[in-house]
Amino acid sequence: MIKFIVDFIIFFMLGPGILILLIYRLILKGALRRFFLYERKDSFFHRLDPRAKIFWTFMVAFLASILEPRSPVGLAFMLILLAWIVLMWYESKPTRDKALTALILLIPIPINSVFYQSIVYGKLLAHQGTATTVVYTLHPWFHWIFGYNKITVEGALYGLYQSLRVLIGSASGLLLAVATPPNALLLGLTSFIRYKDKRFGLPYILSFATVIAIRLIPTIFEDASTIITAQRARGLVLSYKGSRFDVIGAVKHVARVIKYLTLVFVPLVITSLRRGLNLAIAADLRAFRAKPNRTYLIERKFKRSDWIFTIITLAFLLTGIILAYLGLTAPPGGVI
Amino acid sequence: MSLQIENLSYQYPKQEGWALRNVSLKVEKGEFIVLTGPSGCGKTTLALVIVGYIPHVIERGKLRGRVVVEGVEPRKVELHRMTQIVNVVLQNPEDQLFALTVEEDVAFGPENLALPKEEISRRIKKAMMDAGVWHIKDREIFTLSGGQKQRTAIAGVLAMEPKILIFDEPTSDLDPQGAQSVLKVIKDIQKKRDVTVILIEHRLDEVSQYADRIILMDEGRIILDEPPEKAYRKATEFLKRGVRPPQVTEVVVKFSSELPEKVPVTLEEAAKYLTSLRGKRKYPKPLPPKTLKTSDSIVRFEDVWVKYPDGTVAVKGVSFSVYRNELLAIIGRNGSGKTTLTRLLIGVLKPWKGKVYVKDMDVSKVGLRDLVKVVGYVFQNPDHQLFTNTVWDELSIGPRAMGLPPEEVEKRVREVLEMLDLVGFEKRHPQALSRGQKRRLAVATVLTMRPEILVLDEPTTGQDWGHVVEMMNLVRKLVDEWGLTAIVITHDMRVVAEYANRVVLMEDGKVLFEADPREAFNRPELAETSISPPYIYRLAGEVFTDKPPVLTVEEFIEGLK
Repeated sequence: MIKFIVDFIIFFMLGPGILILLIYRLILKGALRRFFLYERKDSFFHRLDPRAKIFWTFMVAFLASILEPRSPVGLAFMLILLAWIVLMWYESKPTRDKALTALILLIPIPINSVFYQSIVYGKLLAHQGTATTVVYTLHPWFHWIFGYNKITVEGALYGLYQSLRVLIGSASGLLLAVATPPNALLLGLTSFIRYKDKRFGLPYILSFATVIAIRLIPTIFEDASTIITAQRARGLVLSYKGSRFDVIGAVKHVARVIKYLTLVFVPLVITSLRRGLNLAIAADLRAFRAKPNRTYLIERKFKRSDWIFTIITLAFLLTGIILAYLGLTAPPGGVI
Repeated sequence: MSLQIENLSYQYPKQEGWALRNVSLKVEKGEFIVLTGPSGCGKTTLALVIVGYIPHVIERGKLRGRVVVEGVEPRKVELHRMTQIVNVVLQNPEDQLFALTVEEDVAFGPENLALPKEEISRRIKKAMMDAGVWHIKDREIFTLSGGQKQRTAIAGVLAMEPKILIFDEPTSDLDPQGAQSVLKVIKDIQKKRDVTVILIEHRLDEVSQYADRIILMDEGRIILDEPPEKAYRKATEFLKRGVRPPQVTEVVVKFSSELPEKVPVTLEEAAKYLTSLRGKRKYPKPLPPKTLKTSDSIVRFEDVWVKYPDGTVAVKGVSFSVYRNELLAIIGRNGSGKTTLTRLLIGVLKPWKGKVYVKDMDVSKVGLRDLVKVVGYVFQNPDHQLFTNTVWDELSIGPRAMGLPPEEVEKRVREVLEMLDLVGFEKRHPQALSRGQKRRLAVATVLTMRPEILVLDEPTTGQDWGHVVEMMNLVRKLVDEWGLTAIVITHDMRVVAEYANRVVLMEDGKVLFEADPREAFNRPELAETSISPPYIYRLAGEVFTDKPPVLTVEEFIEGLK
């Protein structure tokens, strides 16, 4: 019984708990709000045409999903992509605050993936009869719950490889959101390709919704921060003051923490809905959706640097597709 | 004829009762109309019908009667055509800005209309100049002050080049400085453009003098529609609906046994009228200070500095005390550090340098749990502080978190329900309460913690006078009868004058002065921060020879007798 509780706390509550607490702190300190506020910076990535950036993000995410990180070629290719993203992040000169927030948002991805795949993929391997290296066995009750209770090295490795895909997609997507002015993003999405008066891209309404959603993120985090402060002012405090060995007290406390966090959502949803409603009125009053082809006051021309960047992006995309097509990036031994 | 409304009634879909009842109204071209009434009286609904948002977007309601705007019927033409004939500036600037920079945002409307680029450039330049945001056209909107944001929103609407402009409580969410700049823009717009203006507002002190007509609405009806100097003869019609006529007019109406044909609306008119009636005279007796005779401090700030994680220093060397059982008002423009300073008292922020003592507890050394037992903090927006599903839960969650036994929790909740007139609402959802009830509930939630100090962050912002009085009388009662100490952050100088024992003025993280309200309004620092004393105080300076520090209409009338 004690082993069950200890296992449960260590493996299922500690990780998510720390993550929730970190995000809670980030909201409270306003870091998440600041993260999504667009900051004007003079960097190569900031200056890049939004279309070049959108295409790059798409290429990176697409390759991350078709390449197989367990083959040497695939892994090498993905690591190069990752390095490219890191370079772009570095080059876009984020403030310390932003860089730290990005790391806190991204690092849990591989950690979670490693942990869950070490059990879940381990189970799959075991079912296939493949030999696995077990590092730790959880309490038998977990076998009863999940159908497997062993933490395996092979599963962990699989998790690490797979997390590379998500990591690459998220890191490039975050960069696009942070380093592109909302209006430029809107223009990039609606007029991805422009030929004379014709525009090809996402419908305007959809792009507008996307951009407004991004614009609202800081406001929503600000609301969340005020709500949490208001909770704290009522004595709903997350810090735990009980004895370190009081297991029941600790479990009760965790339950309370979860309860308080869920309580943030009610006022948050209500304030956001109200804001959304007002924005909708304001948008209609400014003739939103009035004409099928709206004017864009500021349009951008593809510059030479945009072309070069896009051609390199395209070259990567083609190389990746060819490699995948040739089967060079298939996983060793043809395991699923 | 600019606008003609005949027997207009409207009922929202899925709602009982009519939001507008038999409204008839005519507005001539170029008129300046002030439309007023208590919250929920139908002002905003009327604006949405005039522009055609009802019924084009909010469909399925019941709409009767006829509306003609500049010769067209809103329900018969497309909404985007209407937006070029009549347009509305909404209350909260945050909710009507879409783009990153001022210029991009102003261009949003004309771009949607697919106008040629040259035309857009011409329109937005003119709009930005008229709204006073041309010099900040490249700034990011999130770096602007409230007043600048609202002026950007005005520019955005001007760029649609409507012939009728409706402003829906455009200054309610702003500080005095922002409100002043926005009012100036609204006032000047008629000179610069050939437009009709309808200003929806319940703070009438400032705006009445610009109005050609005042329209008072209540429960969806038009109660009266007359030029201000006639309308305010029926001041009681306003007051009984929780709308306060200009203080200078209120004095005349309450004092005179026989009202003139045209009652004074501006400060100058009122001064002239009262002097003609009574002659210039001295105020008969000294006015006692409002500061309590006590030196028993309950909160002490000693050279306090606060720095945020992003490096902003929001409070810079503040020292002052709050005395037991007083009602202290903290005033100053937005961003001057008022909220930051008071948040130190509940321990959600810690001082960077200096010391803060709450009942001799050093806030840097004690935890939040100990502080919230002493200090109750009421936030500006009730929606941010009501989390649970019933009024009962809302009131009991705090005491329960304090670890109180259930009987004690129940006792406290019952007591507070009684005290704040919320009995019978225990099982209701907090969000289903009326605006006034929600605000009372927000105060109630901290009272169940039995605090000794109550902090209220802008408890009256954006509310009609009826709600302001309701809230402030409650605070006064808690101070006088329960022995609480109250710290109220406010932009409303009428509230300061009528309710506060002392005033602290903040600017740029520093305290400029702490003073008795009788003295505060005479301080030169006030003007430097764009804060004007209440009209009644200024009127006293004109009518009485010794410039007495009169704070209320009653005191003024006392002096005339």
